[in-house]
Amino acid sequence: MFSKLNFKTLSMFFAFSIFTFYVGLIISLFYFWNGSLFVETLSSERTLFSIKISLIAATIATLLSLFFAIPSAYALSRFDFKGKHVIDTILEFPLIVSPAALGAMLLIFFNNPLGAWFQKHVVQFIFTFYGIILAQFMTTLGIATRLIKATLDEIPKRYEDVASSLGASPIKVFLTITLPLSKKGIIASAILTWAKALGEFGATITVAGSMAMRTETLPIAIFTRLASADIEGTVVLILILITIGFTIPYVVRLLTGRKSL
Amino acid sequence: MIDIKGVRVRAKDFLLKDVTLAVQSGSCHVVIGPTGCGKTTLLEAILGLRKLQEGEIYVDGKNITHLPPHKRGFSYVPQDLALFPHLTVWENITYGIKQSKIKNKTELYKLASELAEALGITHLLKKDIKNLSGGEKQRVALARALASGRKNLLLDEPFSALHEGIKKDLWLLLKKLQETYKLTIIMVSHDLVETFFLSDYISVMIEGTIRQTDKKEKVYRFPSDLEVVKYFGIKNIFSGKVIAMNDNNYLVYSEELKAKISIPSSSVSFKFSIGDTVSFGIRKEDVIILRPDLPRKNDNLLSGVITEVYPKGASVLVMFAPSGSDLSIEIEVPEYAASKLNLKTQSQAIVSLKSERIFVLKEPRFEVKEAKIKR
Repeated sequence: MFSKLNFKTLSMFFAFSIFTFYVGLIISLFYFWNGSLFVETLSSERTLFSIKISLIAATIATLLSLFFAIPSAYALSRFDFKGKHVIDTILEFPLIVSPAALGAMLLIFFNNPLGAWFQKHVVQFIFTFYGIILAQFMTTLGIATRLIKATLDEIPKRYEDVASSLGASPIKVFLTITLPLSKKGIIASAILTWAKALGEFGATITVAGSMAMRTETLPIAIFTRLASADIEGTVVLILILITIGFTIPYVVRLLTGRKSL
Repeated sequence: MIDIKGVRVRAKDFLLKDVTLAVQSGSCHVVIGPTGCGKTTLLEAILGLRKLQEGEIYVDGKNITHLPPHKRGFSYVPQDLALFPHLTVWENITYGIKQSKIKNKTELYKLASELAEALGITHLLKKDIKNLSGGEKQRVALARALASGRKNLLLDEPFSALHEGIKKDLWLLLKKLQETYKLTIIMVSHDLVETFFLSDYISVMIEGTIRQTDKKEKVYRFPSDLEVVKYFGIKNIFSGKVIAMNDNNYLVYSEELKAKISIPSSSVSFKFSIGDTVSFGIRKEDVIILRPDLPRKNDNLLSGVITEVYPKGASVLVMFAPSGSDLSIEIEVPEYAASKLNLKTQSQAIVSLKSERIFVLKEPRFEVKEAKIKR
C-alpha cells in the first residue's frame, strides 16, 4: 500500500495529521460540556473581566512590540552594522528561555536597585495590569521582530534604491515603498504576535500574579479553574479563549483584505 | 557633465579599481563588459548606493561624492526595472514628481503626460503594473525615470529581458528622448549591437577596470588590447615583425600568415621601429573574398583554401586557411555575396585583409597566441 503513496499524498497526510491533532483536542473538550455552565461562566463578572484585560493587554503588548519590531527589523534586514548578528541571535531569547524563566528574570530585575527605582519612580509592574503588558511584550518582541524581518527580506531593496534615485528621502522611501509593500506581512505578523500575547501564561503569572478581578487573564483563569479541579469551568474558559483567538484574527484578515496568513 | 575620477569600490570579493570617466552632457556613454565585470557596481557607486574607497564624482562641477542617493540628481532604471507593484502606472510615473521640492509642479505633471504620450502608454495609465507586458513595463520605467525632470539617467541593462523586435523599437525611442530632452545617459550593457547603436562613447570594462574609453567609432575600429579584442569576439589576431616603413605605412612580415602585411601608420597610435614585433588584427567582416574573375587591385592578398562554410542567415561565416600557414582566418560574408561567390569547402580562394581596417594591439606576443585558432 505504501508503495502507491506518492509524495503529494504523503505530505497531505502529514498536513491532515496536524489538523487531527488539534481538532481532536478541541472536540474532546465537549466530553465535559455543560451548556448552562457555559452561559453562567461567560456572563460572570470575573470571566468578563478576564476577557477584557486579556484583549486589552494583548492588543497593547502587540502594538508596543510592533513599535519596536518594525524599525528594528528594517535595520536588521537592510543594513550591515557591528553587533547585527548578536542582535539577530538574541531575538530567539524568549523562545530559548521558558516564559516562566523570562518572568522570573523580570521579577529579579525589579528587585535589583535599578529595577526597584524604576518601580518606585516610573511605573509599578509587579502584580499589576502593567506587569501583564510587560510580560506579554517581552515574550512577543523577539518573535514579532523575526517575523517582520522575514517579510522585509522578501521585498527587493531595488525598489527602495529606485525610489531614492527619484528624490525620496530614506523616511519617505520607508513610508511610501517599504511599508505599503510589507503591509500584508506586517498584518500577518501582528496577528501571530497578538495570538501569542493572548495565550501567554508563564511570564504573565510570574510577573503579574493571578489576582481575580485584577491580573487574571484568560490563560491564568483557566489555570486557576484547573488547579481547583473545576474541569467543566476550565472547558468553558478554554472554549472562550479558542473562540476569541480564532475570531479576532479572522475579522482582522477580512477587514484588511488578507485571505490567508 | 559627469566626471568620475579614480573611483575605487569594494563589493564583497570584488574590486572596482581606478575608474575614471568623463561623460559629456547630452551624450550616451555605454559601459560594456562581460557579466560580473563590475558594471552594475559602478552604476550603484555613481548613484550613491555603494561607498567609495577612493575617488570622487562630480556633476556639472559639483562634488556629489558624499551626497545621499536622493540628493544626487540621477534617475535610475535597474535591470529588473523595479516598478512599484503597489502603484498604478500613473502613480509610478509621477512618484518622482511627488518627491520633488519644487512648489509649482504643473510643468512636471505636463512633462509626465508628454512622456506618456511619447512612449505610447497613455492607455495604460490607470492599469496595475502586474497587468503590463515586458515592453510596456520598460516604457513605464523610462517615463518614471524622466518625469521627475532629471537630465542624468543611469540605465542598467534595461533592455536585456526583451526580445529583439521590441528592443529595437525602444532603442529608437530612447535615442529620440535623449535628443528631445538633452539627456546625459550612462548605461551599462553586455550587448554589442545595442551598445554600438545607442552610444556616443564606449568604455570597455573588464574585471573591475576600464580597459578602453573612446568614441564608439574608435572603439569599434581600434580595440586597444587583447582583453578588449577577446570580449568583442575578434579571432583574427596575428603577429609579425616590422620589415620596412615609410611616412604612410608599416610593412610587417607575419610568419604565421606567411605573408607581408601593409598597415597604414594612421591606424597605429604608437611608434614602431624596424625589427619590432607587432600584434595586429582584423574583424571578420573586414576580410574580403575576391571574385576570381575580377582584376586584383586590393592590398594584403592571401591565397589559400576555404576549410569551412557556416550559413548564419543574413551572413555566412567562412574559415579560410592561408597557404603554408597553420592558422585559420574568420571571414563573414553577406549571404547574397556568398551565394554569388559560390563558396564551397576545400575550394581555392584569394582574400584581402583591407589595410585601412587593420588595427594594432599593444599586447605581448605570448598573450596574442592564446587568441589564435589552430586548424
